Amino acid sequence: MKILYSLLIVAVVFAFFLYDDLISLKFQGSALVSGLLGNLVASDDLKEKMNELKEENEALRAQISQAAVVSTDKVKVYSSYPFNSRKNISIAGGEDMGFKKGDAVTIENKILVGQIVEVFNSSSVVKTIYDPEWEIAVRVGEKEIDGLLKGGLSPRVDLIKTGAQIKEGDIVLSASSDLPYGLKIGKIKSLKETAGAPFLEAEVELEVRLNELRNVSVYP
Amino acid sequence: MFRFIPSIVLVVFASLTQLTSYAFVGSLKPDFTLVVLLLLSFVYKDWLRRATLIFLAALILKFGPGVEVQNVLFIIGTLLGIFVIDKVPSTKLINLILAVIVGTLTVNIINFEVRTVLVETLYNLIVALLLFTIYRLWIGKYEKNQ
Repeated sequence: MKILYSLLIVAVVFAFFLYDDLISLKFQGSALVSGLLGNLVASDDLKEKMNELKEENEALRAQISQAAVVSTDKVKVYSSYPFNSRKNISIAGGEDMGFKKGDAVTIENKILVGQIVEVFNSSSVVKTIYDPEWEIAVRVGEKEIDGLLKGGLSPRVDLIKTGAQIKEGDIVLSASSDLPYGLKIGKIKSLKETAGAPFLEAEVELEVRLNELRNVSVYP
Repeated sequence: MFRFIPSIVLVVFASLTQLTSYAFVGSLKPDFTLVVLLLLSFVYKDWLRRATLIFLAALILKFGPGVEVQNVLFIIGTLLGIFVIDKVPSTKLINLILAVIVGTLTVNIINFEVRTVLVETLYNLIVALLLFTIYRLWIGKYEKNQ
């Protein structure tokens, strides 16, 4: 029996190093479990069905008005990072769909979800705006005030000039050179001003909720 | 062996579940796999079976290519937790609680955000207490049948 367990450990350790070939298979496994759990959780199932009906309704309306409006979010979200230190997700597309590192991942090509950091044969890993290591240049509000968005559980915009005309509810847009300009990120939730400090800090309410993500688009 | 196969299935299921978005409680995920592995260390005392389960879980939880620091920390955290369960001369419940705390702290040691660690520890303890209750009921039934 000990030989059997030893062989099993060797197989697992071996798989550890041949990981790239296994990764898509594993992500598909987690998507399968996700589907099973989804069937158990009635409310989410209903919500998904409602979204499907809504999309169908929109497509029918579009057909009536002879304008094809179909959801552009075709890439399935497989899984999300298992630990709380990072906020990455995996998506069902990689080299086979022409994705590459740095591609922007969005919802309907309007709302920013994150950026591809790793590409495999048929899956990719995306670093999301919830990741604590995420930092990009942004513009805030109608006056397009510059700032630096820092991700994490409580995302915030730093380096806003004191006296800048921004208020709660102002929209935060992407303005980084490696991302499409003007993707919506969220809105200003609250402003924090420290006396004597040259910059303001603002808490941001993100548009995307990781636990509700099902489909995304990839913006090359 | 008959008991070990369901344990493998349990570990695989817990690990795959932890990869799904259904594992989120608010914005954080409890560490189901860590808790399941710690609880299974009450059942299996030999290190070969324990190591098999730990490596299997680590393989499933690995999210990127190469050796991931977070994955290594997960293995170390689980081993330290099992060490606490084996060595602390207290009741199983107290040992499990200590093991969960030690395991969670180790897993989060490089990205130590106090709020995150506190909430995650709380979630892990709740999951551990629920699973421990099921384990006690199962053991009670098992001993009754013996």
